[in-house]
Amino acid sequence: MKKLINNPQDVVKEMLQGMIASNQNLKLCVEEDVIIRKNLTKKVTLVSGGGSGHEPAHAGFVGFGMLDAAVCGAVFTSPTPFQVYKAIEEVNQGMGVLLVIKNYTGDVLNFEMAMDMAKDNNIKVASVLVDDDIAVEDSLYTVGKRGVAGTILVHKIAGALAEKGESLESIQRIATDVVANMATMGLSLGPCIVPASGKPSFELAENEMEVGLGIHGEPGVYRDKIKTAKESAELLLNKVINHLKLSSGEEVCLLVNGLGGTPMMELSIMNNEFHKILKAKNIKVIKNLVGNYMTSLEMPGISVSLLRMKNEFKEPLLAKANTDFYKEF
Amino acid sequence: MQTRAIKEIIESITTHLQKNKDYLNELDRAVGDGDHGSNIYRGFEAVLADSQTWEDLNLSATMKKIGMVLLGKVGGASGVLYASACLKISQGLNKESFNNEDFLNAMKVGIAEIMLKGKSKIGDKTMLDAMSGFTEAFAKKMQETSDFYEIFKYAVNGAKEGDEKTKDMVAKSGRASYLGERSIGHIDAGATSFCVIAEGILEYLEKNRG
Repeated sequence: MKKLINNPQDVVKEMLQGMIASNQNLKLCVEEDVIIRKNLTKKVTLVSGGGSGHEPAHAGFVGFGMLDAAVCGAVFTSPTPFQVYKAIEEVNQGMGVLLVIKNYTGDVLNFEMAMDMAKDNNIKVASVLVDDDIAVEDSLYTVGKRGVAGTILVHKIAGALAEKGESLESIQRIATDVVANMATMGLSLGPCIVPASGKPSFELAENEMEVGLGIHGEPGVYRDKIKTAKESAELLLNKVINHLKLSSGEEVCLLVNGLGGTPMMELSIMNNEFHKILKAKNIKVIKNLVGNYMTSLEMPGISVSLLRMKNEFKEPLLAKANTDFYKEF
Repeated sequence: MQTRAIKEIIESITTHLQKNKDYLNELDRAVGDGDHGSNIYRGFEAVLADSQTWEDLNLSATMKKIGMVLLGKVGGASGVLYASACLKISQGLNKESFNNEDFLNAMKVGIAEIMLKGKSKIGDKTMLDAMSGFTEAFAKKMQETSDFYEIFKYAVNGAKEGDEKTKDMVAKSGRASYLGERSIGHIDAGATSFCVIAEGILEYLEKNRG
């Protein structure tokens, strides 16, 4: 393992100290590893989080127009109910707290337990479960689809609605509809190294790629021979388009997400290919994000997400946001 | 049971987890992210530290303490599941001494809670497969002897057999389930960590026989 760290046990705490050092609008609950906006206003507040290692998700999206708090678990490990409850308690303004949860057994169990704790303390809470990854949609198994990069778009839209003063019920309804109209598909060119384990999460030959992977260093649904950017873009995006049953004339938000170890050059080359495919199908991109949003430590790879645009989504998607890693002016 | 004995059991469990931490991480790495050993060890290390402050707790209060510390320190699915089992068991413990049957029933209560919370069943390639192997063997041996150590020893073998069986299973619960058929051939780290915990208890029993 070759990493700029001090001790694997301290990576999350030291990372969070570094993050608040660069942003005066954030504060840190040192004990619980929760990052919070300093100047909260009276509105519905948003909490998200999960295991660390996906930076900038989620702590990098705390700020105006997006999250009010991010709860940071150990690397790729869900935070505990006490950590999540601390975030809820800190941001609660009496208008309701919305939890954005990625669909993983650990996250769901811990966040739901925290919601029970909040209800016991008379805090109004609701949640939206994000499961945008379509790699495992045909699975016989019971856990369901995973929450991946599309989660950022839920943060953006729900966050803008909250700033606008919408009610908890209304934000939850629209955020749930966002999830239903969004799909993501990814591929990886290599593993990542979890600091606690110190070893690559899997091994890939020089000419191989993993298709349909999650964001925790786990291998994908299948292994394939590496392809050109054009072929890879078709493989991923056609699956997304078919899943959403997008038709000619529709509008979308296109999120091209790097998994941490892929240079901007390649993300841009892929973005170019995605645009060609969408143009040929007469699907109009009204918002395009390209960069590292939901990563898997240093994993080389990419995911592509499409969100079908609805009138209700458009205004909050394009509304102002000012966070470290997502800004809209 | 005395608080001192419980502290020694926890110490034995923690030592076993420390020894097996890297092995558990290695098992997890094959189908997950490779930190299961570190997470469970972190939890029991915290339980051990907390136990230094325990004085004259009854069994129910002790199980509750263990559950709450695990809930606050482990994280992930395994943390909540182990913790929920301890908390549920603590609710049902209302006497101070318990016999073999009481122990078996407490294990069953814990398993039922994990199935409920984790929405999983036996055969899904999870910790439940080792746990059910444990209780089945425990119940079987109870018919032959009333010696707790002998029964427990037999049950640990049952847990290991259950753990071994996970190798050929397709994961249907937890993060390994995303791999589908590709999860075949790998032993489940959660099932193995239960075996390590049970072995820690067994070692304590062995040292304190008679």
